[in-house]
Amino acid sequence: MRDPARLRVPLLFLTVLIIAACGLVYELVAGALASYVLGDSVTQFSTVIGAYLSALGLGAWLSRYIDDKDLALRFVEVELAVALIGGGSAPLLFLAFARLGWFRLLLYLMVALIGTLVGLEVPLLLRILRQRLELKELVARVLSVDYLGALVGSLLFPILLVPRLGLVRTSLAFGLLNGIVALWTTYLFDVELPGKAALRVRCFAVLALLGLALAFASRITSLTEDGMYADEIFYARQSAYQRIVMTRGRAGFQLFLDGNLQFASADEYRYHEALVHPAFAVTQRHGEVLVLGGGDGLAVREILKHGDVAHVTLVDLDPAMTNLAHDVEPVRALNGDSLRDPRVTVINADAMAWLADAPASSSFDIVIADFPDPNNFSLGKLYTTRFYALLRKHLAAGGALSVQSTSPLFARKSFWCIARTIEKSGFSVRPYHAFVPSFGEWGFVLAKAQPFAQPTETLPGLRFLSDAMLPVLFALSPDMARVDAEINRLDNQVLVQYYEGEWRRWN
Amino acid sequence: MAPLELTRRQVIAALLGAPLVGCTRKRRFEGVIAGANDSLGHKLRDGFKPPASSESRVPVLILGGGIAGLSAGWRLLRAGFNDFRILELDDVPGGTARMGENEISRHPWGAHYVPCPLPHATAALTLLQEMGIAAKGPDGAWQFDEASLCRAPQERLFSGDRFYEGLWPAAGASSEDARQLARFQAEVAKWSARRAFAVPMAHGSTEEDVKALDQISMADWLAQRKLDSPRLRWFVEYATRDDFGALLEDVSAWAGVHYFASRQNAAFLTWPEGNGRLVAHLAQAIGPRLTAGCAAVEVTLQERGASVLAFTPRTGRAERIAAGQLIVALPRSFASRLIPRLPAYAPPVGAWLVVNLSLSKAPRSRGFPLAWDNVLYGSRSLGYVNAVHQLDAGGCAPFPGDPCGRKAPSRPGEMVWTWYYPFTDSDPHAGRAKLSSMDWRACADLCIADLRRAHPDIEECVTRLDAWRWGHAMPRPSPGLVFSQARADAAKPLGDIHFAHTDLSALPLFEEAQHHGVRAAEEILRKRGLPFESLL
Repeated sequence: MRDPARLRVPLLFLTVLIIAACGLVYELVAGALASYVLGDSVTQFSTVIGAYLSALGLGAWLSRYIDDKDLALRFVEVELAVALIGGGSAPLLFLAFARLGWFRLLLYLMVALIGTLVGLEVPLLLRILRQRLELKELVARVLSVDYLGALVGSLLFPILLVPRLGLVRTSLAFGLLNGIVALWTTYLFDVELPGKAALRVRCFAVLALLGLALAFASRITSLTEDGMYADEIFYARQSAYQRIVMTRGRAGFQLFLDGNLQFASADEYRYHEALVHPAFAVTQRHGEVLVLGGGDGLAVREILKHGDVAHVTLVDLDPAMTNLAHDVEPVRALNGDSLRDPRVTVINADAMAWLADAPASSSFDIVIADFPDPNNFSLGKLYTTRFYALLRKHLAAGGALSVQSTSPLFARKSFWCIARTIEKSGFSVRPYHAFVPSFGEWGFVLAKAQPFAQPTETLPGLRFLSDAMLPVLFALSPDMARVDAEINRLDNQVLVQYYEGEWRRWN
Repeated sequence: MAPLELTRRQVIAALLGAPLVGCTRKRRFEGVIAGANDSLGHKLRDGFKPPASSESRVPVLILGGGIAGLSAGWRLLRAGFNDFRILELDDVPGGTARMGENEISRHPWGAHYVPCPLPHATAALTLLQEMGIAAKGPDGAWQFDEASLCRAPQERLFSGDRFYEGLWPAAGASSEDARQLARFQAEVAKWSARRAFAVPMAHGSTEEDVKALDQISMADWLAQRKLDSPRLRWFVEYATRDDFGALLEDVSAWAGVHYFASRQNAAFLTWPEGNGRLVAHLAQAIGPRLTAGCAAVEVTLQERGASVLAFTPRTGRAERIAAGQLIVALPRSFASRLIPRLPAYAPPVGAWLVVNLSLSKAPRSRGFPLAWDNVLYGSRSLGYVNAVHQLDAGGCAPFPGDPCGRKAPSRPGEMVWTWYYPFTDSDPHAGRAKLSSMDWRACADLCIADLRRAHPDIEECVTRLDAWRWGHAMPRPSPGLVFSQARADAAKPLGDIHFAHTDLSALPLFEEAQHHGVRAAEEILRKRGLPFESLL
């Protein structure tokens, strides 16, 4: 018969391997989650790792206060605590970010708590194994297995865990692993444990709780932000209206509002040149220009290329967005400081309310409507007959309107719904399109109060548009040709329904 | 950019917060029982008669500044007759169509929408045209101002654990439920196609088979057709509770069918302040001819004209007014006490509780997003209407002649919800007794408990809660009432006293109140030999 103590030693080393991997994964979860919701990953990872490592030291130091006769019991209890707190860390932190003002405090508190508990693990195990192995053998084996566990954790995290499970499920799954270790050690430390039955009940309770959370998490993970952006986040802010996130990749940076891409620095010029210049090409006077939406200042950059522009009024709901365009480096550089130009006035207001209240005397030669796609009722109202009727009142004689109109290819009915709604509001329209790699085939509607000819000349020196290119914009291939659609009114908002149905096919 | 409906933060909160609701903080909020002190009304009921300290004469006097009284005045003005006065007991006109206003928005205290009138509803269309809300298009068809048409999304229903679009409880409905709904709709379609039912009801059919519907209750009508699906019964009863404040057993089948068959799928017109928008327009036109805070305590019919003793509680003074003609635009129960010898006619009148909640942010909810009308399946309440639904971004909507004090957009997410609770007890006195025993705390608890089902964090979001107890809110078209001789007789003039009130239709609708006001005014115009083209 084999010696039971000998049999258990290799299993105890396996325990070390698992808990080391778990400990590292919690640290990575906290770091990744913090960079995800707060942005600036270098700072977040540095501070999380710093807090975590110092807490490990605190835990190791605290281990001296644990009495020799309680070692096994305390080890199991520490495992259970790590299982609960570490395992619950990602869902709890996501919840806290969504609801609490003191997210950072909670983040570092949790990191410190997990670190302290994990810091207790190895000293306790060393003292338990001391009775069965020589010191030099013990230290060499335990520490090497510990670092090996860290390697396993650090490799699994980016390769398997984040892409396959996401942060919430990863943290819960590793909590379960710690819980299993706790249960399993109640069998490993057979002789050394008083009150085993009660302890095992606690283990099962913790496992059941985490298991339940995992079952719930699997339903929700796909809906949280977890794993939504492909590139590194360097800016993230929650404004009163929306979540603004910027990511940096190899080809420049991207800006997202509530998870929807608004522009990519690499190809936004195609979009903004196409949005702005055709309206200038079909009008004589360009003194007064109105931009609705477009708080990124990129459309204004294009507008200011026309020397005869006397004044640009930009109306965007969200001050966080216009402040970003005004002050934050990569956006400011990209829009060429357009919002600081003396000809530009920035107003933060709801475009519809602003138009309804604007004095009847204010009129504009060119109006650019650059709103996000109509994916909800609040945005859908900015594409209604009511909205275009208000706009028409403020369009100067001979003036033109240009409207971003989602994709004529991916959302063909939505695109034609917008065009028809503008037409129904008393405009003559010319729908057109441009290819923007980040978006795909994109659509716009050019409109004037009187019938007008397609533009033939544009500014020289643009990157995408040229005189030769203009006819291409206005030629719609058969798969984008006019389809029948209802008129979008405030009381039916059919556009939101069209849009939802059409994009669902592609996403 | 516009406010996006759900921020990422809210999504995460909604998803992750759901199992951890227990830890939400409850915020305290305050409020009052708003509205007129009903002690004067009750004092008048008990025969209070102060001595008159002054006397005056007026050619036409109108008692009551609700929709009926205001419409009577408006009709006289449109015929070029300006020499009249209106007395209203409350400090503010409007009756159950009155509005309120708080730091966030205007809001209704009662009636809050009007279906787009069909072409035969001349009086309603004339008023809306005057207000710039209705206009005849080039094809001769009536068109309505887009800003006043109820915006999408219009209705949602909370059932199970989430909201669904529309009011029919489709989620979890069996194929039998669906079949019964289809049969019900086919019955309604039959009446709609005949145009047997109309608003105002004076334009409807009086053929025998239509009148027969008045003899049975809506509950019996459904039972006769073996329409017993609980979902269908809820759906139909929601309509009778919503429009008449009564259960299927307590309204006639004529009234129940009228709700569905008279509207011909018309869109709704609504405003942040509900029908208070219409009241404001009428009151503005009438101007100083309206005396608020003044009530008739005695009416004496004379050989020519009538004599009215009017009391102003604020000053404690009473005035005797001699009127050439009198329009009594008061609830029938008031009129009966003021005027002896009035033909007996007493429609049952139910009690309602209306609560306005100010919210600092949108409470969480699952499923279909916040709509104009938000209903809870199986609840005794009627749900709530979002007062800021028709606004572009918070604040009040200014309207001509009565600019709003605060036009700046409010903070995102701030809104006002108007929650309705009819006391549907078969004996209306029992409901009235329950309501009058409720203090502010009881009203708040009833409302919050109802809403918490759909919005677990409602208490965190409410910053203010005001309640209005309508003891006499609206008449019920109980079986046999609409086609009774008593109802027909009640609208007939008594010498120079004419009558106008929605009680005379037993249908508590704006168009009925307006119809009776316009009718009474036109009776007087005719009597006085003034030329006019009827709006009826």
